[in-house]
Amino acid sequence: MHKRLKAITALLLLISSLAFSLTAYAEPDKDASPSELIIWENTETGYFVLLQDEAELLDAEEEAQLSNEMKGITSYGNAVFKTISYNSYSASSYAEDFYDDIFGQSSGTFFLIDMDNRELYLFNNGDISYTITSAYSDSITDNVYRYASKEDYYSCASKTFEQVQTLLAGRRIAQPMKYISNALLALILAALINYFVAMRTASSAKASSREVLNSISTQFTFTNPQKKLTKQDKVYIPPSSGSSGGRSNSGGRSHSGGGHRF
Amino acid sequence: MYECPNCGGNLKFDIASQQLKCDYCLTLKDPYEVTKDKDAEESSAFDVTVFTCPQCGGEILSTDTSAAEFCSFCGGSTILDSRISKEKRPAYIIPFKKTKDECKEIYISKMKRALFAPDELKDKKYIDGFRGIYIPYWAYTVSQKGPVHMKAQKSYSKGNYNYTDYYDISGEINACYNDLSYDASSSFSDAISEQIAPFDVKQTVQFSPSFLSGFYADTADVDSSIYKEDAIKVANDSSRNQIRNTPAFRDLSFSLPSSNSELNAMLRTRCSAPERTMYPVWFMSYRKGDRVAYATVNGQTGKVAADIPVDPKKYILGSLLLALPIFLLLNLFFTFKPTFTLGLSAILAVLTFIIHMAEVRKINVRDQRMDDRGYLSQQSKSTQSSKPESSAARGGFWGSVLAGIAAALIFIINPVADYWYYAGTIIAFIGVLFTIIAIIKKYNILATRKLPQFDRKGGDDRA
Repeated sequence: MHKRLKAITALLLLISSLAFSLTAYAEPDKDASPSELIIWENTETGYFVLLQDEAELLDAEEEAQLSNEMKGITSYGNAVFKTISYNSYSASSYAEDFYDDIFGQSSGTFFLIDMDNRELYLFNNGDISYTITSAYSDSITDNVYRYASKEDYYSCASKTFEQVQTLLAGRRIAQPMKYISNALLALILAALINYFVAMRTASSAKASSREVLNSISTQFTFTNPQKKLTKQDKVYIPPSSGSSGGRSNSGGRSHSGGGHRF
Repeated sequence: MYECPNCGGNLKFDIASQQLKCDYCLTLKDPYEVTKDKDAEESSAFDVTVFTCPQCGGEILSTDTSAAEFCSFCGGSTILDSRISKEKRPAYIIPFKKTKDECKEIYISKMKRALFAPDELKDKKYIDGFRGIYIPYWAYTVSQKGPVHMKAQKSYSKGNYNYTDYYDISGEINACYNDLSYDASSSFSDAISEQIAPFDVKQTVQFSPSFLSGFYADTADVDSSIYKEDAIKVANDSSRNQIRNTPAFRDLSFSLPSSNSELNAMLRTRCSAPERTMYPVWFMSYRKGDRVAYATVNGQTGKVAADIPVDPKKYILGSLLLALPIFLLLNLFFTFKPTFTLGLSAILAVLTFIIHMAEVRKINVRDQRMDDRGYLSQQSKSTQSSKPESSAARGGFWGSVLAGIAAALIFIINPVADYWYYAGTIIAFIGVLFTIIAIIKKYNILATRKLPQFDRKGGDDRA
């Protein structure tokens, strides 16, 4: 009974937060029709699925199917998908602020399709961010951006959450971006490093002055060394005032994220 | 030729025993005991056979009259012209300490570490061509004696004040640097001389022509004044540093004149007339087309200086092999986005361009022997002007320039698709590789030399 009460309270809080966030984030898009909002709670873990297609990129069937596919993630954290058609910030700032406003520090993953910046962004918070690191977020969005470029937004989101689940389950995903980039950089770095190795092994160093001096017979004495103070300059340095300000961060919070234009 | 008192055979200097040894009856003789009449110590000259290369004009001396079959300087295999001459007698000599076999072992060991050297440089036939040559050196003795006065200062902070104390420094210097040696042969490159240096001049012995038996010697044709300032500079730098490190002055910073002449006056530097000396060098030349490469081994210490070209094929293969561990290492730590990859590769292309420009400058300096003061001093005496190097050393930078331009264009267009950035990175890789191969080809020019033209009798630029 107590658990159920807690879940209802959480749901109410979520809806009220969302209502606030909708007015805050969707304000300029006043003429748009009300976006579809799907909320589902995993009662075992207390994590939610939240899907809001504000940019109306999916039809009802796709939204239902996608929200179903997202449910698996709630074993680990919240699963959030949102599309927006207006954003005065960067996709990463929007994703971080939106997730923070709704779920605070709770573990979860948030996939944003920002039609204004034409950018995909995968934001992860809490425990999930330790598995879905920024590097993985970059890889996942790189794997799916072509779907968004072809306006197949359902496949784009579906493949994103599928890869998130794959990683959360401890399995591997394809990372062609990582391997192609690293292979090309490895070739260039190898060419340069090998050049320096080749030059190093092919050349002979000149004898140093120390070696030359050690090979000859030398004698050096400097007797009766004297130093006599002739003049002293004295310059007044005014004490510095004030101290530079600093910023503190909230501390303790972990998140990751990565995106790709489309 | 020095005749054996027992059998009349040819006595040659034996490195192992440091004595003259008969080829036939193995009799050993002290080099100072076996002298020709004209070799008397009081004589200021000694008899030699001068062999002159008809192709490059290079001269090599020997106490034997038998014909030399090849020229050590240009690698030419024609029988050299010979004439009997008198050479000025050096005061001292360092006899050979390393045998030819030891020299070959040292060279082979060096070549094993030269991973990208062409296989032909490791060929036994080539390595057998080492020839023992005594190279003439000028040995300068620099002394400094008398009262020294300098200026120094010390800066520090105390409370809200910065203080600078100015001092007059004084003391009595008594320093001597004996036998600072510089090669006196214009045919022996200063760069090689500096690389095989130093010789342990504490092991010099009084000269006797018999030490040359079985070896060759180079002619001393560089004026003794050429390296005087270099010797003085070494002495001045050393004394200046030692004065700075005097315990009473360690916390002071000295205001010292930068010019050698002012420093000479301050340190009371004097350089006495240099002595003629001869130092042992195992010398081998390798001729390829119109270029020649030298390999030299210090005949006393075994230090090697060799012109080692880089085989481009071996370099490319080595780079591909090295790319594998770098790739695995990058995978452990990094996931780069294509935009970052292209940016980094563009930076590396710019770095390659900078390396290219620096290498071209070095090639020009070396090919014109602008770093060889002994050679330049001889050239300035002659009417023959050195020809500028061909444009073979230019053009390679286009690879890295095009890579940079391609990367900049892609960043300006700012496409969404990754493959643009991958294509840009591939262009950068090809550009970098093209430029590095061009540098290596230029380095191979740097690792070899133009056929020498010594403007002596017989020198022919077109030979």
